[in-house]
Amino acid sequence: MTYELIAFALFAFVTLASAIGVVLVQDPWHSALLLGVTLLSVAVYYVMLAAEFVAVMQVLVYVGGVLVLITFAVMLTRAERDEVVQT
Amino acid sequence: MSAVPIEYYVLLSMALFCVGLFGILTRRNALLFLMSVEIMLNAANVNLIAFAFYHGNLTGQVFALFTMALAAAEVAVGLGIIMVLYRNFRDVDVTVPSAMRW
Repeated sequence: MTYELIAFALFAFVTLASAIGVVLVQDPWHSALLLGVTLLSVAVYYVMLAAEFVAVMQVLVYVGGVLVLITFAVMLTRAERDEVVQT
Repeated sequence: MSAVPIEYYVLLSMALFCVGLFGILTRRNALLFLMSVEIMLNAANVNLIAFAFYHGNLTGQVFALFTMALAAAEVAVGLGIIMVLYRNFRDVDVTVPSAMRW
């Protein structure tokens, strides 16, 4: 029973650390990657709370859909700004 | 019922929501707005699933599924808005546009 508490504490640390990293890192692409870590670690709580279907939907919808859309936005809005910074 | 008390889940959800709110209030990049809103929606989802488990019914899980569909639609619309913002202002800084007409 206490192993579940230890696992909760470890994954809570991972979730909070990566979420704070999302809002503090300057590069939007690194923020998107840290957001993926946050969303995947949130799925662990759903498995611990006996909501396996919601956990699978979390991984499919968020990591498979939302994160791809955010990657799309990051790649489309950042390419020319780097050129402006360099020139 | 479980080894983890529900207060821990509520505290985790509160901390996650505060991180998302901090991101919205401090960052100026429009992409970070989308990511912070995702973090806040996930905090609400953790609360919903935790209360669904501790009450023993599936209402919270159904609410969480609705929230996920809402988040996916919100990111799709936000992507379009950010692309228009980038096309008109050549930047994704949300403080640059100050009027809704030009």
